[in-house]
Amino acid sequence: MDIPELPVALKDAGVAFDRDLRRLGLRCDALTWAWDARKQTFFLFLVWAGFDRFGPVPIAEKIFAAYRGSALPEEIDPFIVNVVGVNGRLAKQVMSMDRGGGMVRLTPRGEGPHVFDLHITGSWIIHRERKPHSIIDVKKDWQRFQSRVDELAA
Amino acid sequence: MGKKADSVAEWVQLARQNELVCTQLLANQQTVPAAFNSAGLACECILKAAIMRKFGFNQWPDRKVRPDLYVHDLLTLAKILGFAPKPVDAVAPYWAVMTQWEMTQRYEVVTPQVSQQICGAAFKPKVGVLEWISQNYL
Repeated sequence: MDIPELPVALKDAGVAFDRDLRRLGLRCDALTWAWDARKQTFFLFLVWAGFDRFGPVPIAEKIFAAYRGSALPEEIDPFIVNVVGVNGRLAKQVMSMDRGGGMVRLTPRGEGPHVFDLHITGSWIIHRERKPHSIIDVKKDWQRFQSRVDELAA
Repeated sequence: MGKKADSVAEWVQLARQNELVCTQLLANQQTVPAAFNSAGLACECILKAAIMRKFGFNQWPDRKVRPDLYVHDLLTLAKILGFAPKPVDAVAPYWAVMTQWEMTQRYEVVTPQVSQQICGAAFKPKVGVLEWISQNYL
């Protein structure tokens, strides 16, 4: 199976996305590109320790709001940004893989049609913390992020 | 999914049945993590209802004629329907969450909080995926 090279433009946009997220107050635990061989497209995976506590909807709402407010790179369609928790299989793979090289293929759980077929190369990891942020830091970050994004819309 | 739905009304009915199942699962602390599957199925059914309406099918096409319709993938069904929300649309973040449901289902462990919110993304009044498609395509 051919896995394409990550285009330089996407790589740079991913770095800008990480920088802009921090500027808005959100420090993710990892950020990486992934290739979905089934859909033949790249996705951006944002691993965040607040996901399980605050859920997928509020952060999706804020990411779209930040994008609409031009506070995130326009090169990254927010529909390709997937936020996941730190305890999931995908996050654990990303946190443990070698950034220098190598590739992991994420095998879906269970039976049935496989809608996704994800591949991640170590060099596609934009950012990764050595250990997940504490819940105290996550709460502070989340409040700051929400406030700053809300200010964009005000 | 049981008996194949064969009309717009039957697909809508199946979608609403899944919404009810979702509500029931959310009412019990032990079954909350399983609720999000029903939300995904409801979105699949409403997309299929909208496809039937758009193409004027008087019955659900045979698999041999339209194999492309025999999928559960929300993005594929949305493409067939021509449903491609823009980031500025109110439904956008909820659609993004719902399309990730499939990935979540296959790769991730789901907490009650996540499951509840995926259900919300499907059924939220006016801007949830089910309501948005119902308002704009049915």
